[in-house]
Amino acid sequence: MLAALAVAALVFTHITVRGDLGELLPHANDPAARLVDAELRTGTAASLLLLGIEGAPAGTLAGISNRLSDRLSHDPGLLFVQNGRRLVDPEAARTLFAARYLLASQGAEAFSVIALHADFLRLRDGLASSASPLVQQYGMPDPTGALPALLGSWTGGGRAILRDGVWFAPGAAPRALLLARLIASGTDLPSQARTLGRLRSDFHAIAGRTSARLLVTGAPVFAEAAEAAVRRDVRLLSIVSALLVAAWLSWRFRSPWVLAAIATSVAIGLSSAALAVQLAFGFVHGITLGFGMTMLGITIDYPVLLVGHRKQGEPAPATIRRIARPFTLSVLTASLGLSGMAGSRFPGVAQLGLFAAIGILASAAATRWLLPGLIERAGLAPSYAGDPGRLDNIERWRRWRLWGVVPPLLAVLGVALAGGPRLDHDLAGLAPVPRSLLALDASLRAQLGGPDIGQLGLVRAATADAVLQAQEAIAPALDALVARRAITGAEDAARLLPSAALQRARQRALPDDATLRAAIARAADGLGFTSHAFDAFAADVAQARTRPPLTAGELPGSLLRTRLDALLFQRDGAWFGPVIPAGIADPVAVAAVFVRPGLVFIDVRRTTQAVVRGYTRQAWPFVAGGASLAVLVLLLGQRDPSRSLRVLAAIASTLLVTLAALVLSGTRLTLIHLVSLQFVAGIGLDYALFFARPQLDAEERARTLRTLLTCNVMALLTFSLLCLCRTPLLREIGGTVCIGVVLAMGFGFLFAGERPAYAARSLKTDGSA
Amino acid sequence: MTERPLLLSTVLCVLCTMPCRADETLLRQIMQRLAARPSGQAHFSMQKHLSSLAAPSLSQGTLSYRKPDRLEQDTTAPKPERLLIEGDTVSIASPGQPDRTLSLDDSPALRILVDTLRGALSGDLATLRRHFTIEEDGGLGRWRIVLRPTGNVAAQVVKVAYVDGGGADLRQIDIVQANGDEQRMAITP
Repeated sequence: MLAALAVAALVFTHITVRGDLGELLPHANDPAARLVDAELRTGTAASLLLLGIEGAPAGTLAGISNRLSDRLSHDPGLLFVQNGRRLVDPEAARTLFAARYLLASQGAEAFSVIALHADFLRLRDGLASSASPLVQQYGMPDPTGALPALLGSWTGGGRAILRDGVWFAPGAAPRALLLARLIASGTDLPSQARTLGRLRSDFHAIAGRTSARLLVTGAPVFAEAAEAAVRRDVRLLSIVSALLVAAWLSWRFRSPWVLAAIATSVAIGLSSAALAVQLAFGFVHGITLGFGMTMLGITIDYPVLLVGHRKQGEPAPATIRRIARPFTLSVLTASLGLSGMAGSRFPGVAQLGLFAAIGILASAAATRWLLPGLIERAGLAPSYAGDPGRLDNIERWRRWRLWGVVPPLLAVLGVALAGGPRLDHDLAGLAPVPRSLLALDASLRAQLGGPDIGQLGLVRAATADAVLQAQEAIAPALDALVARRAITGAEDAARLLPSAALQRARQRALPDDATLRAAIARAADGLGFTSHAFDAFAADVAQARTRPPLTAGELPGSLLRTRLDALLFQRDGAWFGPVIPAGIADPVAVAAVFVRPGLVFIDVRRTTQAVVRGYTRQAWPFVAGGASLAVLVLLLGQRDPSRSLRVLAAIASTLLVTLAALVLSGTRLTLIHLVSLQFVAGIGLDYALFFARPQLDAEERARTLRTLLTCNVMALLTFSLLCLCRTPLLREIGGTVCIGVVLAMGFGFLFAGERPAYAARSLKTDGSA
Repeated sequence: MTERPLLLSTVLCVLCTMPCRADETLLRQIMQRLAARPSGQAHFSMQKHLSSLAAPSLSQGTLSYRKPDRLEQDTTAPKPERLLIEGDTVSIASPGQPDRTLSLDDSPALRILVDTLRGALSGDLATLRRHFTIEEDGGLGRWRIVLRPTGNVAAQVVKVAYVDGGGADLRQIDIVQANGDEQRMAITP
C-alpha cells in the first residue's frame, strides 16, 4: 500500500500540469481559421494590455502615467508601452515628413491656387499668433497640411484625448490611459504572468500615487484570471471532497483501514491515468486532472463494493467470487464506454477519455488483486449490513416499477415539446473570466480604440504590396458602407501606407516646379509674405516627384512600425493584411465586400464555434462506438437478454430524465454535458449491474442496497462540491452529474433489481382481478 | 609634505574663482531680485520680424507670471488670444477656434523658447544655464543680459537673446532665432 502511494507521489511530482484553457480547445483546419486561431493565441490580440489609472485628480494621474510609462519602458517583458506622450518619435516623423506627398491622400486640387490661398491665409494668422515658432517650423514647408493628415491616420482610432500631454478617457471622471504589448505570446502564460506581476509592483512602487488605482485588462489578464480560478477550484475541490468522503466512509465502516484500502486503489488508478496522459500528450491539463480525478470517483466505489459485500470473517476470495461477474462487467463496460472519448481529436475530450479509461482499469485491477490481502488482515467488513426485515418494505416499491416508465416517457415528451436539446458550440462562455473584468475591458477598449477583433476581413497575397493594392481596391466599397452607416469605419494597412502603385500615381499628380511656383505666387499675392517664404515647400514637392515610394521596411522601429506590423505581416510564405471594420451594423453587407479572390471574411466567434461543432460531430461516432461495444460486452457477459434489457432500461431512463432536466431548465448543451452524461451512464451501469445479480438471499440484497447507497452518497458529496466552483465548466459538470447519480440509484433499484416473489404474485392477482 | 599640495590647490582655487566671482556678482544680484517676486503682471507690446513675412507683426496685451512655472500671455490686439504655459503643457486659446494643447516634450524648439522666456521672468539661472552661456553688462540700475546657446539643440533654435532691465524690473526681451526670425517684447509694469 505504501508502495502504491509512493508511486503516486512520484508520478504527480513529475507530470506537467497546465492550466490554460486554450490547450484544451481543438486546433483549426482551414488556413483562414488557422490564421485566426494562431493570431488569437500568439498575435497582437493575445499580448496587448489595456491600462487605466483612476481615483486621483487629472494632474496627479498624468504624472503617475508618465512615471509608470518610464518605468515600464525598461521592462524586458514588454515590447512597448505608450501613454500618449511622444506618440511619434522624431526619426519616424522625419521619415513620414520626407514622404508626405506620396503618403497623404491629398489630391492634385490641394495644389490649386484657391486651395493654396486658403492655406496661406491660415498660415498668416498662425504666424501672427503665439504659436508662430511652430507655424514657421512645421507649417511653412507644409502649407497643405499633409503631415498632420498623415499623423492623424497613424495615431487616430481611439477616443482618447490628450490632457497634460498624456491620454485620458473622455468623460468627467479622470482616467489616464496606457497601451502596452507583452513580448511573450499567448502560448507562454507563465512568462506573461511574470511580466504582469512586475507591471503591478512597478505601479505600487510609484511614490505619491496616493489613492490612484491601476486597471489592467486584455487577453493576458483574462488568461491569468482563468488560470487562477481553475487552479483554486481544483485545489479546493480535491481537498474538501477528500475530507468529506473520508468522514463519510469512516462513519460507515467504523475503521480507518477502509480508507487505506480505498487510498491504495485510487492512488494506483490516478497515477496510472496521469502517467498515461502525460505519455500520450506530453502534459496533463489542470481540468483533465480536476475532472478526471472526480470522474475516477467511480473507482472509489470498487473497494467499497468489495468491502461492503464481505461477510464478517469471510475469506476475501469468496467475496470476490460472489461479486466477480457484475464487478468485471461494470469495469469493462465503463472503461470501454469512456475509451470512445480518447479517440476524439478534441484534445480536452481525448485527455479526459484516456485518463478515465486507464484510471478505471488500473484501480479495478488493484482492487481485484492487491486489496484482498489487506482486507482480510484488517478484518474489514461492514459493521452493519442492513436489516433484511426492512428490506421487504423497501423492495415492495418495485411493485410500482411499471410506473417508473412514466418519468422517462415524460422526459422524451418534454424534450420534444421544448424543441429538442439546444446545442451550444461556444466554449468561450465556459471560461472563468469574471463579468466585472469583461466590462472593464469593453470600456477601456472603446476608450483606447484597441482592436476588438470579432469580425474582420483578411487579404492574402504573395507580396506586401499586393496586399496593399487589394485593400485599396475594396476601399471605395468600405467607404460606401461608412456612408450608409453599415459600419463606422475600417482600419487596414493601406490606410497607413499606400501601395507603391498608388504612391506613384500621387507622384504623377504633383504639379511640376514651374506650375507650383506660379500657383504659389498667385495664391500668396497681397498676403504680405516675402517672395522666398514658400521656397522650402516648393523644393519638397519637387523632391517628392522623383523619390522612390516608401516601403514598410523603411519605417524605423517604433510605435508606428508596431502598428503597421500588426496590420501587414508575413506567415507561411504569404502576406496577410487584416481589414478591421468598426461598429458593424450590417454584417451581411460587410461580408459581401470580401467576396473576391484572395479575400475572406472571418467571424472569429463563428469560426471557433464551427471548429467545436466539427469536433462534436466527429466525437459522436466514437461515443456511439464505445457505447455499442459496452452493450455487446454486457449481453455476452450476462448471458441473460431480459436481465441486460432491464439494466439498459435503467441506464436509458437515467440519461433521458437527466437530459430532460437540463433541457427544461434552459441549459444549452455543450460538449461538456455530453461528457458528464457519459460518466452518469458509467455510474448507472455500476449500480444496475449490482442490483441485477440473480438469485440472492435477502441478506445479500440488503448488503448490496446498503453498499450502493454508500457509493451514491459518496458520489453526491463529491459532485455537489463542483456546483460551488467559480469555473462555469466545472459547475455544469457538477450539476449534471448530481442529477444523474440520484436518478441512476433510483432507476437502478427500480428496473434492474429483481421483483420480490410475493410482490410479483400480488401484482398478478391484481392483474387477474 | 601634506600641507604643500593642499596649499597649492587652495591658491589655484582662489585664482580660478576670483575673476568669475567678480563677473557674476551683478548677474546673481539681478537674478535674485527677479526671483524674489512670487508673481507679477505687466503690459506688453510685441514686435515680430519673421523671415516669411514682409512686414513686422505687432501685438499687445497682458503678461502674468506666477511662481514656479505658470506664464500667461493674454493678447488683446490685434486678435484676442490666450497663451498659457504651465509646467510642461502649452495651451493656446483663441475665440472661434478649438483650443490647442501641446507638451513641451513634443517640441525641443518650443521648450528652449519657453525656457528662455520663463527663465528670464523668474530669474531661474539654472534653467538658463542649461541652454546658454550668460554675459551681463551695465549696473544694477540699468542692465543687459546676453544669452548665447551652448548646445547643438539650442543653437538650432536660438541665435542670441537679450534681456534688458532696471533694478528688479524686466523691460525688454529680444530673441533672435536661428532661422532669422526676431521677436521683441517690451514690458511696462
